[in-house]
Amino acid sequence: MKKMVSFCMAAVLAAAVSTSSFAATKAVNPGSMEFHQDSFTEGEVGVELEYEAVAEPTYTITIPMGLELVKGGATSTFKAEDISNLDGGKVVMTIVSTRKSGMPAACPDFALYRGHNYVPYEVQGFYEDGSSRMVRELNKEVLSFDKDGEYKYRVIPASVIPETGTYWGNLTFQFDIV
Amino acid sequence: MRESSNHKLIKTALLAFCMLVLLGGGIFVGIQYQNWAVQPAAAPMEQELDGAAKDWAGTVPPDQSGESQPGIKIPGYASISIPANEQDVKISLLNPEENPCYFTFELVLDDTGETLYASKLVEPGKAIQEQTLSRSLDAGEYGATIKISTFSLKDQAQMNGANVKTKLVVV
Repeated sequence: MKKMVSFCMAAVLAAAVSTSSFAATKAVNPGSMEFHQDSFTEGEVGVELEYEAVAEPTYTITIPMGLELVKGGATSTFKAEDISNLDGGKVVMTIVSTRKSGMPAACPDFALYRGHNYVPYEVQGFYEDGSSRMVRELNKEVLSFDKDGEYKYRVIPASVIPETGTYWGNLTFQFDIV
Repeated sequence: MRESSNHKLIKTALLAFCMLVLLGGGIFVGIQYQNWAVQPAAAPMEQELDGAAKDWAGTVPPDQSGESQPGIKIPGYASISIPANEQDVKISLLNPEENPCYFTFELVLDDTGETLYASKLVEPGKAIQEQTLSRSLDAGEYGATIKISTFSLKDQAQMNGANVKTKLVVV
């Protein structure tokens, strides 16, 4: 009887652990489970679990798809989700490249390109406290945040746009927790 | 006499026609020149899909606003733990399902600029969960960057991208 109870308890334990492993957090994938019993007369009942840890994303930031340049400037939005456990830090956003593959080397940073025309621009990041920051150089903080929300920046042409049409250029943003 | 006059007329008409064609061609070239010159010299290259990418069945941080916002969702990694002295690692390099673009991922060590891993194109809704690094790392903490390049689903034209700084914890 004692053996039977022991066996049943082990089975229940195994089932419970199995269930919880499938409902586990996203940081762990269910692995294999082994059930051991030395004999049906005496011995120990044990359960071995094996997990394969997979590093998964912890937050998401939605960035604009492209770069819009209109007279007077165009405002775009970042959306930050699941920002947490920053250990007192914050997410700092910088721009590390404004180039697109195939753009001529002569095209300067922070400029869009079309034919023989370049339109320089600058970026203004808006902070939650109402302040803002103008950026014309790579690797400078545009904005920072430490919680979920929508954050805005504005791309402002620094000169008159010489002609209408498609101008080429991309932004590569960098997100760093500091 | 009359025949000669007709010939002259025909010649004049032909000349006028040729001049008109040349003039029209010149105007057309002039108008199109700017458009021909505007595009970047290198057309987007046709890239391969990454065969290691599988359907993503895991969870992603939820959209709490309830409204869909046009844009590219970039997954962030505060830190990544991988085993020491092993080249085979498990990191979920995910392209969220809603995205209008392919992703490529590159894992780069900050100190040296060394590329430890580079993927091919990953479709939206898929993730690469197992990678073989170019070399194993000793135990310790390393500053690293996941460079995410984005390419339009339509024509693979490059779109805005992102670098995600992370801490590589090698244990």
